[in-house]
Amino acid sequence: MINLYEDYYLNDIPFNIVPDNTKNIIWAGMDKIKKEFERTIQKSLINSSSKILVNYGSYGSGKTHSAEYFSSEKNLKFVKNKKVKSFLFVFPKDTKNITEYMFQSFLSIYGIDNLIYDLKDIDSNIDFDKLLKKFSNDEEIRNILLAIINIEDKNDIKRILYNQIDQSILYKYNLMKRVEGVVIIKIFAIIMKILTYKKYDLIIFWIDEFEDITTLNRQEVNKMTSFLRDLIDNIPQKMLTYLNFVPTTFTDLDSLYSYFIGSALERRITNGVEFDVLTLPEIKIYVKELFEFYRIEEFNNKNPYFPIEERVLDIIYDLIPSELTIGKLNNILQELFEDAIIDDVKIIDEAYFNQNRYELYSLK
Amino acid sequence: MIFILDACSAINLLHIFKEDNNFLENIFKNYKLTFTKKVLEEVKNNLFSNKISLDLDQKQSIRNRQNILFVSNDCEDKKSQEYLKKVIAYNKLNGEFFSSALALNLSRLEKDYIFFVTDDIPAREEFSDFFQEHKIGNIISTVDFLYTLYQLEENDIFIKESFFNLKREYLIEIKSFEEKIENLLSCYKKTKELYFLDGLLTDLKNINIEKLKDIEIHHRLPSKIKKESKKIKEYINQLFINGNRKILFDEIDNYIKLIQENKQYRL
Repeated sequence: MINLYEDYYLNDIPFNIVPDNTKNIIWAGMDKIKKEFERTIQKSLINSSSKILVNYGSYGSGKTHSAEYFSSEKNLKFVKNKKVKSFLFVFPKDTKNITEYMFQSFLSIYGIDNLIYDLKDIDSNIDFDKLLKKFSNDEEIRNILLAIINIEDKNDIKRILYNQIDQSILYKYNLMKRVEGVVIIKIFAIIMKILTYKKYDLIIFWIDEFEDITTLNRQEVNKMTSFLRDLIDNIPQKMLTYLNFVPTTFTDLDSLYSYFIGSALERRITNGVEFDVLTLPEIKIYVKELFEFYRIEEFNNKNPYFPIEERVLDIIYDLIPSELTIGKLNNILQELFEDAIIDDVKIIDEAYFNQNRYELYSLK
Repeated sequence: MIFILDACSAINLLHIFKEDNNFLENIFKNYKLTFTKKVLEEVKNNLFSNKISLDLDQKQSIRNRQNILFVSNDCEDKKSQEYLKKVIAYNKLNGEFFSSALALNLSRLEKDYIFFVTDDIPAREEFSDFFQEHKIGNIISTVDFLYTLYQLEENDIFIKESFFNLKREYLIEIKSFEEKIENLLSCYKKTKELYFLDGLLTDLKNINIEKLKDIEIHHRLPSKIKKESKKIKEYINQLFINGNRKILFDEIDNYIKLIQENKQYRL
């Protein structure tokens, strides 16, 4: 059997199709897409009005990967002298309370301790109470945030934010309102405004699998669009929301806008980045760059795709040019690698590929 | 005008208006809608065919709704049926056949224009010349029917909704297949099964009808996967190839464009 390290000069198989959160997320090839994202983020920093962009492309074309990549703080460092924070949300499965779901997901990604630390850390020259007054006229809302900042019992903070409190806790901290309904969006908005006051120059929300909106009923669709509208109304600056959407023959981009988004949001939402199938040169650059991340130092072969011969990439492209997304390519190459390792094949050439291609489930 | 509905259209209406309390009842109150006994029997037997994602409450609500469908006439007669059998040499005694015979009889008795509402494409082709030659009226789809109501109704909100609800009925089914495949995917790691399932999930997410109708179910696949893949293949073939829901969806998109262009006369 093949030894990955000695025979292929790799420290792992690069085309992992099962997301592995323990690994650093990397970006290979797809330069145009990467640049487009960087451009939209930079544009949002110049024109700070909040906006919503729809990224679209077939399933497997790299939308989720992009969201994961740009949600990592170290990958947002391309913006010089500016701080950007990004959050990735999966479209809510249970749509009973979308605002609550988004707020609680936000809390769990940020971490309540980190959030409180960051809020306290915004401006040491000004009392938090005075800072809050800059952003909200609503005393009750300010009281909730003040309580959260000042309470020492972490469980009580959590109970207040997740609305798991009884009357006694409200009484104990002199609160008149619970964190529910419209209060959530107001709290959410103040937190965002404080964070973008001095700490961050832009906050990005990614909502993945937005196409699931097509399976909701009208009432549920309205809840989702109301949430997006409230978000943009209450946080008019420094907020960029990406919606990842798979257009299908049954629900294309036009029907997303005309039916699901509706007129209330139509003027605030535009097309974001388009994810297309790969061209042959894009495939080659992607594979070459991906291998570079996994190469061991001793590698000195002239073929950058080693152990795959370039011709194999040509054939794969010729077989399914209209559906070769990045996800599909990863599957095919990963499966091919696994087969080659078991078959003890040192070079994956045209002959080996043709001999095995009918056994490849990912090519069917 | 009188509308005669076949089973598939009646079932579609029951499903797309399952979450609304009065709209369907109002349609039945305000328009002349009728069914044959055979169609009611077919509705009863097929109320939940191809619907795998409904929960018990939704099923009960649809079952309750069924009561609003009733045979409101006694115009089904042997003479028109015998005549139809002879003229078009049709041997299948199904809902479409009895509905067409009823359309003929009603058009003469009521001296009115009859719309036969069916989404069965072969039936439409089979009976359209007969309707034309005998000046009975027209054969239309459920989508045509809803658009007709949209043109006639002053309150059109629900009609517009119904187009999307009709699409949604099928998208929900596809979504429920996706969830089953996602669950199966979590059982495998770096095996041939994983690649098969991932390909299947991709085709479901992209609603790639062409590929889903021809899923290759290899004998070496575990039975759990084979069973689910077979169900998906059957569902796609039954609805999108034989039943041709795609045509229905294209009709919906065309009408939505017309609605957006505001081509509608209001009193």
